[in-house]
Amino acid sequence: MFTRLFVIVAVAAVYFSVSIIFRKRKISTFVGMEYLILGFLLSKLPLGQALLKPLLFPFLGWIGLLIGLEADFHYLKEFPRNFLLKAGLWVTGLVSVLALALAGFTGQPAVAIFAPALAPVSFRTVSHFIPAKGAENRTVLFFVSILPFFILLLLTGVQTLILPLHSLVYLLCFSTLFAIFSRALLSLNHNPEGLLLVLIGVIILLSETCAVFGISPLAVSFFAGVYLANTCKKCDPVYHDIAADEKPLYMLFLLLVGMLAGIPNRPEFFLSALFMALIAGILRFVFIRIPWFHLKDYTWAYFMAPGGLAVAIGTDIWIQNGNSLSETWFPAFLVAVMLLQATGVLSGKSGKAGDMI
Amino acid sequence: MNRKTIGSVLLNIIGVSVLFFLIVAGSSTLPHSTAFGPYLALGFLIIVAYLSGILVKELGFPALTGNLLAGILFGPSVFSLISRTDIQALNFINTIALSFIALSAGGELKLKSLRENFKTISGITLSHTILILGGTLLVMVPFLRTSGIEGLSGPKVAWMAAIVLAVVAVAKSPASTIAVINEYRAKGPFTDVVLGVTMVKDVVVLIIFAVSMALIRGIGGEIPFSLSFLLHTFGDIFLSAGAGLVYGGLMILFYRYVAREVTVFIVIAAFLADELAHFAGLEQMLMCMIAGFVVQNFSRQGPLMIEGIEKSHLPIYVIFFSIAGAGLDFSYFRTVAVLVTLFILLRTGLIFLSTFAGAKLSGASSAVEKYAWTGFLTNAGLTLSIAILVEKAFPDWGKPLKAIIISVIAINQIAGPVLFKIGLVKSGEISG
Repeated sequence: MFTRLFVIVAVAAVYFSVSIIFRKRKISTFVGMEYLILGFLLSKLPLGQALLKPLLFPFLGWIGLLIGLEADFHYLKEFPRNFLLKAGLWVTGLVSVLALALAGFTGQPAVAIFAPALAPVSFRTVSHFIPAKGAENRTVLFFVSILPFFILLLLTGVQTLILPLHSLVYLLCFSTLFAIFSRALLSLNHNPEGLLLVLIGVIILLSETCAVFGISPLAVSFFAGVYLANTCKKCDPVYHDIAADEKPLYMLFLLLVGMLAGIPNRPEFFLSALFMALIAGILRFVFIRIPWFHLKDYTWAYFMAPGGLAVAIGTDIWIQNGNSLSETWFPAFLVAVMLLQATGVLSGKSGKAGDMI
Repeated sequence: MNRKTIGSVLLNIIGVSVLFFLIVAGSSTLPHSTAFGPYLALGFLIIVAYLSGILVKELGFPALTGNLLAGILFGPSVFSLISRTDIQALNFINTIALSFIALSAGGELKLKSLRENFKTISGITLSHTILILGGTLLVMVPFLRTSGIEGLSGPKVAWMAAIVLAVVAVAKSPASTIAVINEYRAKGPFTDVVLGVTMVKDVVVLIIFAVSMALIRGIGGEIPFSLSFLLHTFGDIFLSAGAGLVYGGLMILFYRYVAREVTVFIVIAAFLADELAHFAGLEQMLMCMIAGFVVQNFSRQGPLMIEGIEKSHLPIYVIFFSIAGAGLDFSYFRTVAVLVTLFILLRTGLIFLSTFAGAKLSGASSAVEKYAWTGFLTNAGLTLSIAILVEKAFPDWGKPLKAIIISVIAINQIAGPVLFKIGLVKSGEISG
């Protein structure tokens, strides 16, 4: 009982103090990873962590739906086909090379599955350093904003290749069913509070269904989101309702992930984390130098931070493939994401933010 | 009443129920069958409870009645789509929600209106305590002695059981009252009186229950009537009130110096209050009510707290009442139907009479005289706690008595909010 009380006080204190401290120090883009650290620390307490695992699914469902709702085809049609093709190639290239490098250097093919999770670029960090002024800046921001869409498509593609047939059937069935069902439900006349409540219900139901059937909550809710974004008239208020609670939900999600992953007491764990961060950092650096989307016109550090989405994708991969991975790799992945995030934000800050090289 | 809305809401309820049924049925065909946990049931319950709320609102009833009915329908009592194990696992949400509701109750009560209605509130509370306790004992003791109900008809036991039923008759559910007031955004002297009596009665019931338990132990001859037991209970009440004052003070500090993300804060505050109360063995409802009351009346930050509450109250009420509905057990009703019906009729009559008498003697408005009784009918958490404590202390006769009390709660919980809504309409503080 005392431990639980302590955890609530700690979480509340961190939640309210962290944002104030970081806001005063003007490094708001770093906010997020400190909750992961707090989660790691709390993982040492006996809190019945196994019972908390089902809570991860609704968070992943919420993140997937949020990204899906951003994928409005009318918006995507504004981009030239060439641009979208290049973006798709960029993501596929980076993920493939990352997967090969992770599998090759670690000697464990299973680790390659984390490759899509090491590919995202934090839009929040990039937009912090690069203002949305000027054609070149906007191109960069557009590119970063559509990256999650391609990464999730790729992730689902990879999953369709490795999933057993029955799981694939469930994935397709539930994606379709939930998409249609959510649309019918949202088309009723709701007040703003009611709309939020319906969304909470749909996200919990959808993600826990995925938990039961062993399919990706991120992918199913992403497809439901894409369907809603392009067919439902109430998509805008729905998106704003979900996005409005982004901060507390991400905070809880990161905290929970940290608590469930824990830090293994093994020396090879830190080496694995450093190794993952190094591989991902080098490859991201190489891909940033590709002369597309004007990325190379800016300092590399701006594109190093993977953001909370990387943690979400990694967690989605972990909950589905946890059995085929050793205990070390998921915490190592999280630490690698934190290292990349810190490198990106702190280097970006110490450099001349916003200036061209 | 909009027929189109009713039709589409009904279709959606059927749709989501079929989908949920398919998920549950489909999961049993999996190669490695994964047991679905309580959260799957929670997702389903949220959607159907919310939709049922819209449906009954269209029919002119409070939404919380719809939430309760959805819980009853899809819970173990009727369709069994949600199991009793799931409901038990989800009960922790309800204890947190209870703190939230109590904070909200305290926050809704203004010192100014309490002062203005002091005479009426104390008059009604006093007449409730005397008339309902006395009237219930007078009728229930002879009835129980002659009823022949197994375990309850012995001469001593009939007295002990009647004392417990008398306390249950006085008790009411603050949660349902607050939920109806919040749903219809009721404001005015009638609402203030009902809210004031509700809050004061919560403390009174705790005291009466402590005295009754001491009396019952004396009658049963197990432990002689002890003053130390009473002092201990009074000590607990004072401690809880003190803790509420301190907690309210801490909340004021937050609202004054941080004042950000008030919605998140109020949910965390309710969660923390629940844990604190359990940790220190305090009376959770009392502590939270006083904390909310302190913030509203002893600082300028009351509106900030109310803003946080208003933004998050719908999800909390829907979850709370649907889980409460699913947890209601009607299986005993058939065996104790006569006693339950008699008790409910007796309680309703006594509440009406005592409210009328208390209001009349204190010079309250005619709306309070005629309709305030409708706000005191619901039973819920506090009553259930009484039943559980009695069962634990006196398993021989506590068990059949608990079955009776649960049936009483189930019926009052459905009828109470509907009648209270009618009372609010008749008093002119909300529109029909």
